[in-house]
Amino acid sequence: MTALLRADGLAKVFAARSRWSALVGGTSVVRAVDEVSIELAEAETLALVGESGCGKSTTGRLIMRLIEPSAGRIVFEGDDITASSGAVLRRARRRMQMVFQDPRSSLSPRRTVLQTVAEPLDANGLIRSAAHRREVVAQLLDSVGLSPSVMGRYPHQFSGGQRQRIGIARSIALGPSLIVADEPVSALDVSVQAQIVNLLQDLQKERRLSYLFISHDLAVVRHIADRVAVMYLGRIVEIGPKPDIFRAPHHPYTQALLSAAPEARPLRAQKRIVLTSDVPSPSAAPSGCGFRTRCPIAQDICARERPALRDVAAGHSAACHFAQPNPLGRPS
Amino acid sequence: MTPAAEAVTVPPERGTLAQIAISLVRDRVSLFFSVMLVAIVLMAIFADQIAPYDPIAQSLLSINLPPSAEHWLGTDQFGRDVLSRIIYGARTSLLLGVIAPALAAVIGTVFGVTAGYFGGWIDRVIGRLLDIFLAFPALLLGILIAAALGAGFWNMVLVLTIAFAPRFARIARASTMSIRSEAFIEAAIASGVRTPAIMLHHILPNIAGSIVVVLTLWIATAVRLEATLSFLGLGTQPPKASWGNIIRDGLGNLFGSPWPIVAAGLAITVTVLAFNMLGDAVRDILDPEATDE
Amino acid sequence: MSAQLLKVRDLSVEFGPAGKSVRVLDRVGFDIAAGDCVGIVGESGSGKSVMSLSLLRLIPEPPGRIVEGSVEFEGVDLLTLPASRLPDIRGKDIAMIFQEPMSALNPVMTVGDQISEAIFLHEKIGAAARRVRVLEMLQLVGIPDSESRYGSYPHEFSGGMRQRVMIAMALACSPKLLIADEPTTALDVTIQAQVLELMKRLRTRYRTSILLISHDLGVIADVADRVIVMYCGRIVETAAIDDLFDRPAHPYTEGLLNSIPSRSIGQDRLYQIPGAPPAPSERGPGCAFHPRCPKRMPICLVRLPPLLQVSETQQAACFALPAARA
Repeated sequence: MTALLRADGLAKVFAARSRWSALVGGTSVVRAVDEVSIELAEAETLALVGESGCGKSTTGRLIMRLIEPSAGRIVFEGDDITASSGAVLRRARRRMQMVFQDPRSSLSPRRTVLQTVAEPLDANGLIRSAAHRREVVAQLLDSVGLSPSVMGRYPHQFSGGQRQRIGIARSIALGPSLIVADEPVSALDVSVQAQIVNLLQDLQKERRLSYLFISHDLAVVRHIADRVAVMYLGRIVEIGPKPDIFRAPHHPYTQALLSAAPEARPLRAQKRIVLTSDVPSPSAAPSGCGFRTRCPIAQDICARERPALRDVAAGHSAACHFAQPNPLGRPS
Repeated sequence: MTPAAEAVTVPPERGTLAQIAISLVRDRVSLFFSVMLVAIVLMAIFADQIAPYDPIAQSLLSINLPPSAEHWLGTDQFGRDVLSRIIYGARTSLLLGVIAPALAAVIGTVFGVTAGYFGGWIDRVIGRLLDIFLAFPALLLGILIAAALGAGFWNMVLVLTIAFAPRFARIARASTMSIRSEAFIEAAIASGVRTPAIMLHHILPNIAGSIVVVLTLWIATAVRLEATLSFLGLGTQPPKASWGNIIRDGLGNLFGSPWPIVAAGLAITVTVLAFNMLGDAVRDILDPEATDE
Repeated sequence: MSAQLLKVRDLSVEFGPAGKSVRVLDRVGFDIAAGDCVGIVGESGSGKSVMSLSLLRLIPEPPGRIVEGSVEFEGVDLLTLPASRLPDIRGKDIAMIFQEPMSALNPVMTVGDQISEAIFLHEKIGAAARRVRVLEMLQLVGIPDSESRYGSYPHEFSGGMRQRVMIAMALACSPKLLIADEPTTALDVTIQAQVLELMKRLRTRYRTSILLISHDLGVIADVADRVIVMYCGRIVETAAIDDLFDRPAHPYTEGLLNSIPSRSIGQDRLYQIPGAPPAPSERGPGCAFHPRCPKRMPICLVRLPPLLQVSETQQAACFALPAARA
């Protein structure tokens, strides 16, 4: 069955900022995204997880064509949009939208809720009249749980959770089929987070939305995702169905990540796997496997040969020479 | 379906203009200067109605008269009523003081936003242009242009506009760059909004604050500059009245009557202070945005 | 029962001009004994950060004001102490670390010098002796190559390392109480795990009491013995850590726990507490949580529930408790 979205070998390379820094410090090349391939079906949620600097946000922006890919192909709803521009790109953009992390900066401080939510429609010439605009925005606000009476207000009069709802209302205005959600609940309190996550799920069911859900919060991912892709230093190190990833991760980083997340269950005294050193800088990625400097089971081959993503089970692959269920030992 | 979250219960806040007005009348000093500002503006607008005499009408019989019931501020060495000249001078000074910075703001903002938004070579080219203009002190530029093109009102507008526009451009550029990478700009791009619309609806409203603040402060500078240039003989030409050339004329007549200089000097001082105060009030309100947390 | 190291009673803080001020902290009181680790959990607007700052009188006045209460540290009320004596206590007896290490560290001073300065403020020992201590601290907090890292600047460290530097600075004078305000919120999960392990180790070694403030129940669960739950400027529950997670007494605590995604594994939707917390200016006379509370009763609207003893180690401010009803 044709996938809604297909990205092959996506890459984004940031070169040295100026000749001077290249002269002084040698070539400083940052491979923010390195050969990332993902596939997303209709009404499916694929989570991109990883810590800061892993490239998940950049990947999301590449898919949205907000950043230009250095390499790779993006096929969305059957069209190759990798290099398209102008009208073709605008048409594609109607069908894919984005929800941002920071409720403060994702809404223009000087525009009312009405103007912000209606903007995608205005930009695409879909508004017939002022009355029509108000009507459409009222419906959108209602579908995200906000009273239409607030449409004349400015963002700073709302709480973080409410602003996020406004941002979501804007993102569904054009009736997209794909939403790239970049850490949509990370900046919210736990109780508000629950509300927004439920909202996103409800909208998904109602509108057959697909989500590319970018997050570092594994607990939320565990709840909302169908499939999970784990990223480290710009590469996907493991990808597979959610239950498999959480029950039996095959990559050591995945296992360490799962183990590190503090569980709100103190009775389960967990033997936590604590990695020793820091994440290497993306501009100085280790040779071979990027994770080897922190990996408890790294061997010589890990420095020589970069592991490719290999199937370890149905629909589940991991990039590790020693991939096996729970490679760092059984959790207690 | 999630139940509707509570509608916002924070009462709608007072409009920006109301906030500025409130802060201007908050204490006695502010109140005084606010009243002065209004008075000066009214003076400029209704000069024809208010001024008791024709500002350029000379009268050899009434030279250097001290203040009296007929001439509240006395007369100068040509018998011209000082009060009337001050009133009409307000018109000249304010016209120049407002038109030139406003023009400069528009031109400067266009260049600044363009440079800040696109970056790259566009930014570099505009940047060099700005640097060239910024290298000239405004006064020097004024003297040069007046020397080349002659003196007069519109030439001074030109001078002040050229002098100020690069400064506005720099501010506009910096403000634009600081919000260029904000998420709401990305959202607009992702929604299909075209670049001119982004600049107009997103960039401009969000940098307007800093621009307006500088604008009000530079009205004060423009008034001062006009006075200086007129004083040097390069600005408003006699017999047309301007605070600068009142001082100029008055300087040669210091022992005849000090009143023209005193009056014009006071007028300039009060106007500059009033606009500075306005600028402060505007800045406090607009920039930074008041927080509710 | 060991003597209480810190006794807070009726601490109240208001913000805003006199006459129009709002109360952001309302009669908060708790104890910390020597060697205790107490966690304060609350969401935005709960007042937890304001509280941690007011313990050391770090609230900017204006616009803030401590209007009521006492903070007794080893018997001395910090709130009535002359201001000149406070620097003796800050950093020496009570140390504090914050969420954003980059803004708490001086960018133009080397890390070693900063820790050294922190020591010198309280102990007038020679430069050589100080250097030895600094190197010790750096090693203790797990910064490799302490000799060479002494001369590094904050921007040369990663976030997790900077937080370790902050911890080193805070512990340099062996404080009796460490206040940690969201120390790991800005860090990645794997780094957070490292820093929490470090804090636990140091606590055991130094017998320092820790007051850990966080919105993340998981972090609190990892480190604390006792937990205090705050909502809208008040304490709504205090309990031993196990009691809190197994038998939450206050409906807000229960709702908060249920909202955690890991508690809804396998369920279709996450539990969500309906509505939103009221702004400080809109809090009525009764319980602040009642509009959202599944157990609310008419009395909750008009009267503020006091902290009632639920068990030996647990208290909650709620009228719906079995004890209250009887």
